[in-house]
Amino acid sequence: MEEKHEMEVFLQGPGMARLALIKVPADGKVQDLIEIAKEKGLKLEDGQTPQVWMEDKDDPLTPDQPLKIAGIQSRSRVQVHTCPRIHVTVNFQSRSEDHPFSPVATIRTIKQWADKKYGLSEVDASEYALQVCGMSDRPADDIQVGSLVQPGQCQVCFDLVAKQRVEG
Amino acid sequence: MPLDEQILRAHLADGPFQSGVDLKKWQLVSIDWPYVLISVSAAVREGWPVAYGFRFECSNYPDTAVTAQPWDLERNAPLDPGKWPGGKNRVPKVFRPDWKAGQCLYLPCDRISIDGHTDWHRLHPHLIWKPTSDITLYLNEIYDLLNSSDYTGPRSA
Repeated sequence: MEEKHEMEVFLQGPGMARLALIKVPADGKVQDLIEIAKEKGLKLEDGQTPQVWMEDKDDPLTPDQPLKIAGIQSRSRVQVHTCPRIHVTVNFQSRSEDHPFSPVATIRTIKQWADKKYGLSEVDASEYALQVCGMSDRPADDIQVGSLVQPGQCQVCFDLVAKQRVEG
Repeated sequence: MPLDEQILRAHLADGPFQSGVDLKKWQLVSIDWPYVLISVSAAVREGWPVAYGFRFECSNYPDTAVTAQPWDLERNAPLDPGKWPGGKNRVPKVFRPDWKAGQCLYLPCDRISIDGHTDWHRLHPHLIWKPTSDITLYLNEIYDLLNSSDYTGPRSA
Protein backbone atom coordinates (compact mmCIF):
# COMPACT_ATOMS: atom_id res chain seq x y z
CA MET A 1 0.00 0.00 0.00
CA GLU A 2 1.41 3.40 -1.01
CA GLU A 3 1.59 6.27 1.40
CA LYS A 4 0.79 9.59 -0.22
CA HIS A 5 4.42 10.75 -0.26
CA GLU A 6 5.66 7.51 -1.83
CA MET A 7 5.16 5.82 -5.16
CA GLU A 8 5.45 2.14 -6.09
CA VAL A 9 7.49 1.37 -9.21
CA PHE A 10 8.33 -1.95 -10.89
CA LEU A 11 12.11 -1.97 -11.25
CA GLN A 12 14.37 -4.35 -13.17
CA GLY A 13 18.07 -4.40 -14.04
CA PRO A 14 20.95 -6.81 -14.69
CA GLY A 15 22.02 -8.62 -11.54
CA MET A 16 18.75 -8.01 -9.72
CA ALA A 17 17.44 -11.40 -8.63
CA ARG A 18 13.83 -10.74 -9.51
CA LEU A 19 11.48 -8.03 -10.74
CA ALA A 20 11.27 -5.65 -7.78
CA LEU A 21 8.33 -3.58 -6.60
CA ILE A 22 10.03 -0.67 -4.88
CA LYS A 23 8.87 2.44 -3.09
CA VAL A 24 10.35 5.81 -4.03
CA PRO A 25 9.54 9.31 -2.74
CA ALA A 26 6.88 10.77 -5.01
CA ASP A 27 8.84 14.03 -5.15
CA GLY A 28 12.08 12.22 -5.95
CA LYS A 29 14.17 12.25 -9.10
CA VAL A 30 14.92 9.72 -11.79
CA GLN A 31 18.41 9.11 -10.43
CA ASP A 32 16.86 7.90 -7.15
CA LEU A 33 15.80 4.79 -9.06
CA ILE A 34 19.44 4.07 -9.91
CA GLU A 35 20.43 4.15 -6.24
CA ILE A 36 17.58 1.85 -5.31
CA ALA A 37 18.54 -0.54 -8.11
CA LYS A 38 22.09 -0.72 -6.73
CA GLU A 39 20.68 -1.60 -3.30
CA LYS A 40 18.65 -4.36 -4.95
CA GLY A 41 21.71 -5.94 -6.57
CA LEU A 42 22.21 -4.04 -9.84
CA LYS A 43 25.51 -5.15 -11.34
CA LEU A 44 27.69 -2.59 -13.13
CA GLU A 45 31.04 -2.75 -14.85
CA ASP A 46 33.63 -0.23 -13.61
CA GLY A 47 33.21 3.19 -15.14
CA GLN A 48 29.77 2.49 -16.60
CA THR A 49 26.98 5.00 -16.05
CA PRO A 50 23.52 3.48 -15.94
CA GLN A 51 20.44 5.10 -17.37
CA VAL A 52 16.77 4.68 -16.54
CA TRP A 53 14.33 3.49 -19.19
CA MET A 54 10.56 3.42 -18.97
CA GLU A 55 8.34 0.95 -20.84
CA ASP A 56 6.70 2.45 -23.92
CA LYS A 57 9.34 5.21 -24.20
CA ASP A 58 12.16 4.92 -26.72
CA ASP A 59 14.73 7.16 -25.04
CA PRO A 60 16.28 7.02 -21.55
CA LEU A 61 14.98 9.41 -18.91
CA THR A 62 16.92 12.49 -17.80
CA PRO A 63 18.55 11.61 -14.45
CA ASP A 64 17.94 14.88 -12.57
CA GLN A 65 14.36 15.21 -13.75
CA PRO A 66 11.59 14.87 -11.12
CA LEU A 67 9.84 11.54 -11.45
CA LYS A 68 6.47 13.04 -12.29
CA ILE A 69 7.92 15.32 -14.97
CA ALA A 70 9.68 12.30 -16.44
CA GLY A 71 6.31 10.55 -16.66
CA ILE A 72 6.85 8.02 -13.85
CA GLN A 73 3.53 7.20 -12.22
CA SER A 74 2.34 4.68 -9.65
CA ARG A 75 3.38 1.19 -10.80
CA SER A 76 5.31 2.39 -13.83
CA ARG A 77 7.75 -0.20 -15.17
CA VAL A 78 11.38 0.82 -15.51
CA GLN A 79 14.79 -0.68 -16.29
CA VAL A 80 18.17 0.57 -15.08
CA HIS A 81 20.83 -0.30 -17.63
CA THR A 82 24.10 0.83 -19.23
CA CYS A 83 23.42 -0.45 -22.76
CA PRO A 84 21.62 1.95 -25.11
CA ARG A 85 20.39 -1.04 -27.08
CA ILE A 86 20.36 -4.82 -26.56
CA HIS A 87 21.17 -6.82 -29.67
CA VAL A 88 18.68 -9.67 -29.58
CA THR A 89 19.01 -12.82 -31.66
CA VAL A 90 16.13 -15.27 -31.97
CA ASN A 91 16.79 -18.69 -33.51
CA PHE A 92 13.99 -20.78 -35.00
CA GLN A 93 14.48 -24.04 -36.87
CA SER A 94 17.47 -23.34 -39.12
CA ARG A 95 17.10 -19.56 -39.21
CA SER A 96 18.42 -16.73 -37.08
CA GLU A 97 17.06 -13.18 -36.93
CA ASP A 98 18.50 -10.15 -35.11
CA HIS A 99 17.13 -6.83 -33.92
CA PRO A 100 18.32 -4.07 -31.55
CA PHE A 101 15.80 -3.56 -28.76
CA SER A 102 15.64 -1.00 -25.99
CA PRO A 103 16.80 -2.58 -22.68
CA VAL A 104 13.26 -2.03 -21.36
CA ALA A 105 11.65 -4.11 -24.14
CA THR A 106 9.72 -7.01 -22.63
CA ILE A 107 9.78 -10.68 -23.53
CA ARG A 108 6.21 -10.13 -24.75
CA THR A 109 7.41 -7.48 -27.23
CA ILE A 110 10.32 -9.60 -28.44
CA LYS A 111 8.07 -12.65 -28.82
CA GLN A 112 5.59 -10.62 -30.92
CA TRP A 113 8.47 -9.45 -33.10
CA ALA A 114 9.77 -13.00 -33.50
CA ASP A 115 6.29 -14.38 -34.29
CA LYS A 116 5.94 -11.80 -37.07
CA LYS A 117 9.49 -12.30 -38.35
CA TYR A 118 9.00 -16.05 -38.62
CA GLY A 119 5.47 -15.82 -39.97
CA LEU A 120 3.78 -17.66 -37.10
CA SER A 121 -0.01 -17.48 -37.07
CA GLU A 122 -1.72 -16.34 -33.87
CA VAL A 123 -2.67 -19.95 -33.19
CA ASP A 124 0.85 -21.28 -33.74
CA ALA A 125 2.48 -18.42 -31.84
CA SER A 126 0.74 -19.38 -28.60
CA GLU A 127 2.40 -22.80 -28.80
CA TYR A 128 5.96 -21.42 -28.88
CA ALA A 129 8.07 -19.73 -26.18
CA LEU A 130 11.37 -17.85 -25.98
CA GLN A 131 14.11 -19.79 -24.18
CA VAL A 132 17.53 -18.32 -23.39
CA CYS A 133 20.10 -20.00 -25.66
CA GLY A 134 21.95 -22.85 -24.01
CA MET A 135 19.78 -22.73 -20.89
CA SER A 136 16.37 -23.94 -19.79
CA ASP A 137 15.19 -20.48 -18.67
CA ARG A 138 11.96 -19.27 -20.25
CA PRO A 139 11.50 -15.76 -18.82
CA ALA A 140 7.97 -14.59 -18.05
CA ASP A 141 6.50 -12.18 -20.58
CA ASP A 142 6.77 -9.17 -18.26
CA ILE A 143 10.54 -9.52 -17.89
CA GLN A 144 12.52 -6.77 -19.64
CA VAL A 145 15.36 -7.95 -21.89
CA GLY A 146 17.96 -5.78 -20.12
CA SER A 147 17.59 -7.90 -16.99
CA LEU A 148 18.76 -10.98 -18.88
CA VAL A 149 22.04 -9.51 -20.13
CA GLN A 150 25.37 -10.18 -18.46
CA PRO A 151 26.95 -6.99 -17.03
CA GLY A 152 29.08 -5.24 -19.63
CA GLN A 153 27.41 -7.06 -22.52
CA CYS A 154 24.69 -5.68 -24.73
CA GLN A 155 23.43 -8.83 -26.40
CA VAL A 156 21.28 -11.85 -25.69
CA CYS A 157 20.18 -14.91 -27.63
CA PHE A 158 16.91 -16.85 -27.53
CA ASP A 159 15.65 -20.02 -29.14
CA LEU A 160 11.99 -20.10 -30.16
CA VAL A 161 10.94 -23.50 -28.82
CA ALA A 162 7.71 -25.48 -28.95
CA LYS A 163 5.77 -25.83 -25.71
CA GLN A 164 5.59 -29.54 -25.03
CA ARG A 165 2.74 -31.56 -23.61
CA VAL A 166 3.23 -32.83 -20.10
CA GLU A 167 3.02 -36.61 -20.37
CA GLY A 168 4.21 -39.74 -18.65
CA MET B 1 3.27 -16.42 11.97
CA PRO B 2 5.19 -19.45 10.66
CA LEU B 3 8.19 -18.76 8.42
CA ASP B 4 6.70 -20.41 5.32
CA GLU B 5 3.64 -18.16 5.55
CA GLN B 6 5.83 -15.09 6.09
CA ILE B 7 7.84 -15.84 2.97
CA LEU B 8 4.75 -16.55 0.87
CA ARG B 9 3.12 -13.28 1.98
CA ALA B 10 6.37 -11.45 1.13
CA HIS B 11 6.36 -13.00 -2.34
CA LEU B 12 2.70 -12.04 -2.84
CA ALA B 13 3.64 -8.42 -2.07
CA ASP B 14 6.72 -8.51 -4.30
CA GLY B 15 7.34 -7.69 -7.96
CA PRO B 16 6.60 -10.91 -9.85
CA PHE B 17 3.20 -11.54 -8.23
CA GLN B 18 2.15 -7.89 -8.18
CA SER B 19 3.19 -7.46 -11.80
CA GLY B 20 0.78 -10.25 -12.69
CA VAL B 21 -1.96 -8.54 -10.68
CA ASP B 22 -1.27 -5.29 -12.51
CA LEU B 23 -1.47 -7.06 -15.86
CA LYS B 24 -4.75 -8.69 -14.75
CA LYS B 25 -3.30 -12.18 -15.04
CA TRP B 26 -4.35 -13.21 -11.54
CA GLN B 27 -5.50 -11.89 -8.18
CA LEU B 28 -5.25 -13.04 -4.60
CA VAL B 29 -8.62 -14.08 -3.15
CA SER B 30 -7.75 -15.17 0.38
CA ILE B 31 -5.18 -16.78 2.66
CA ASP B 32 -6.19 -19.39 5.24
CA TRP B 33 -2.81 -20.94 5.91
CA PRO B 34 -1.55 -23.23 4.49
CA TYR B 35 -4.23 -22.67 1.82
CA VAL B 36 -4.11 -19.73 -0.57
CA LEU B 37 -6.92 -19.01 -3.04
CA ILE B 38 -5.93 -17.29 -6.28
CA SER B 39 -8.07 -16.50 -9.32
CA VAL B 40 -6.34 -16.79 -12.73
CA SER B 41 -7.71 -15.01 -15.81
CA ALA B 42 -8.68 -17.00 -18.87
CA ALA B 43 -9.35 -16.20 -22.53
CA VAL B 44 -12.93 -15.08 -22.83
CA ARG B 45 -15.64 -16.08 -25.26
CA GLU B 46 -19.39 -16.08 -24.82
CA GLY B 47 -20.33 -18.55 -22.12
CA TRP B 48 -16.77 -19.05 -20.89
CA PRO B 49 -15.67 -17.98 -17.41
CA VAL B 50 -13.41 -14.93 -17.21
CA ALA B 51 -11.25 -16.70 -14.62
CA TYR B 52 -10.73 -19.95 -12.72
CA GLY B 53 -10.09 -20.28 -8.99
CA PHE B 54 -7.27 -22.39 -7.63
CA ARG B 55 -6.58 -23.50 -4.07
CA PHE B 56 -2.86 -23.72 -3.41
CA GLU B 57 -1.45 -25.68 -0.50
CA CYS B 58 1.76 -23.95 0.49
CA SER B 59 3.23 -25.85 3.44
CA ASN B 60 7.01 -25.43 3.79
CA TYR B 61 7.06 -22.76 1.08
CA PRO B 62 9.35 -22.19 -0.81
CA ASP B 63 11.65 -25.09 0.07
CA THR B 64 8.88 -27.47 -1.00
CA ALA B 65 6.85 -27.01 -4.19
CA VAL B 66 3.26 -25.91 -3.85
CA THR B 67 0.32 -27.98 -5.07
CA ALA B 68 -2.91 -26.61 -6.53
CA GLN B 69 -6.38 -27.80 -7.47
CA PRO B 70 -9.19 -26.05 -9.37
CA TRP B 71 -11.52 -24.45 -6.84
CA ASP B 72 -15.08 -23.17 -6.91
CA LEU B 73 -14.68 -19.77 -5.29
CA GLU B 74 -18.44 -19.27 -4.82
CA ARG B 75 -19.03 -22.59 -3.05
CA ASN B 76 -15.56 -22.71 -1.47
CA ALA B 77 -15.24 -26.31 -2.60
CA PRO B 78 -13.40 -28.35 -5.27
CA LEU B 79 -14.51 -27.32 -8.75
CA ASP B 80 -16.94 -29.70 -10.43
CA PRO B 81 -15.00 -31.73 -13.07
CA GLY B 82 -17.38 -30.57 -15.80
CA LYS B 83 -16.31 -27.00 -15.13
CA TRP B 84 -12.59 -27.70 -15.35
CA PRO B 85 -10.73 -26.06 -18.27
CA GLY B 86 -10.79 -28.08 -21.47
CA GLY B 87 -8.59 -28.00 -24.53
CA LYS B 88 -7.25 -29.74 -27.59
CA ASN B 89 -3.79 -30.94 -26.62
CA ARG B 90 -1.69 -29.36 -23.84
CA VAL B 91 -4.58 -28.16 -21.66
CA PRO B 92 -6.34 -31.51 -21.08
CA LYS B 93 -2.97 -33.09 -20.25
CA VAL B 94 -2.65 -30.72 -17.28
CA PHE B 95 -6.24 -30.34 -16.13
CA ARG B 96 -7.12 -33.99 -15.44
CA PRO B 97 -9.95 -34.66 -12.98
CA ASP B 98 -8.95 -38.35 -13.14
CA TRP B 99 -5.42 -37.65 -11.83
CA LYS B 100 -5.13 -38.07 -8.05
CA ALA B 101 -8.93 -37.64 -7.79
CA GLY B 102 -8.66 -34.07 -9.00
CA GLN B 103 -6.49 -33.03 -6.04
CA CYS B 104 -3.81 -31.38 -8.19
CA LEU B 105 -2.75 -30.35 -11.68
CA TYR B 106 -0.56 -32.63 -13.80
CA LEU B 107 2.40 -30.26 -13.87
CA PRO B 108 6.14 -30.65 -13.15
CA CYS B 109 5.97 -27.72 -10.71
CA ASP B 110 3.27 -29.45 -8.65
CA ARG B 111 4.45 -31.09 -5.43
CA ILE B 112 2.19 -34.12 -5.80
CA SER B 113 2.52 -34.66 -9.55
CA ILE B 114 6.33 -34.48 -9.75
CA ASP B 115 6.52 -37.55 -7.50
CA GLY B 116 7.48 -40.52 -9.68
CA HIS B 117 8.17 -38.43 -12.77
CA THR B 118 11.95 -38.20 -12.70
CA ASP B 119 12.08 -37.71 -16.49
CA TRP B 120 10.24 -34.41 -16.10
CA HIS B 121 13.49 -32.88 -14.77
CA ARG B 122 15.01 -33.51 -18.20
CA LEU B 123 11.91 -32.88 -20.33
CA HIS B 124 10.51 -29.78 -18.60
CA PRO B 125 13.43 -28.18 -16.70
CA HIS B 126 11.87 -24.72 -16.86
CA LEU B 127 8.91 -25.98 -14.81
CA ILE B 128 10.83 -27.74 -12.05
CA TRP B 129 10.35 -26.13 -8.63
CA LYS B 130 13.50 -25.00 -6.81
CA PRO B 131 13.85 -23.43 -3.34
CA THR B 132 14.55 -20.15 -5.18
CA SER B 133 11.24 -20.40 -7.05
CA ASP B 134 8.15 -18.43 -6.17
CA ILE B 135 4.45 -19.07 -6.71
CA THR B 136 4.46 -17.20 -10.05
CA LEU B 137 6.32 -20.16 -11.60
CA TYR B 138 3.10 -22.14 -11.19
CA LEU B 139 0.75 -19.23 -11.89
CA ASN B 140 2.44 -18.24 -15.15
CA GLU B 141 2.05 -21.79 -16.46
CA ILE B 142 -1.66 -21.88 -15.58
CA TYR B 143 -2.19 -18.45 -17.15
CA ASP B 144 -0.34 -19.48 -20.30
CA LEU B 145 -2.52 -22.58 -20.71
CA LEU B 146 -5.79 -20.74 -20.09
CA ASN B 147 -4.86 -18.06 -22.63
CA SER B 148 -3.45 -20.32 -25.34
CA SER B 149 -5.10 -21.34 -28.58
CA ASP B 150 -5.25 -24.85 -27.10
CA TYR B 151 -7.83 -23.84 -24.47
CA THR B 152 -11.44 -24.44 -25.55
CA GLY B 153 -13.41 -23.25 -22.55
CA PRO B 154 -14.88 -25.36 -19.73
CA ARG B 155 -15.02 -29.12 -20.37
CA SER B 156 -18.80 -29.04 -20.42
CA ALA B 157 -18.96 -26.24 -23.01
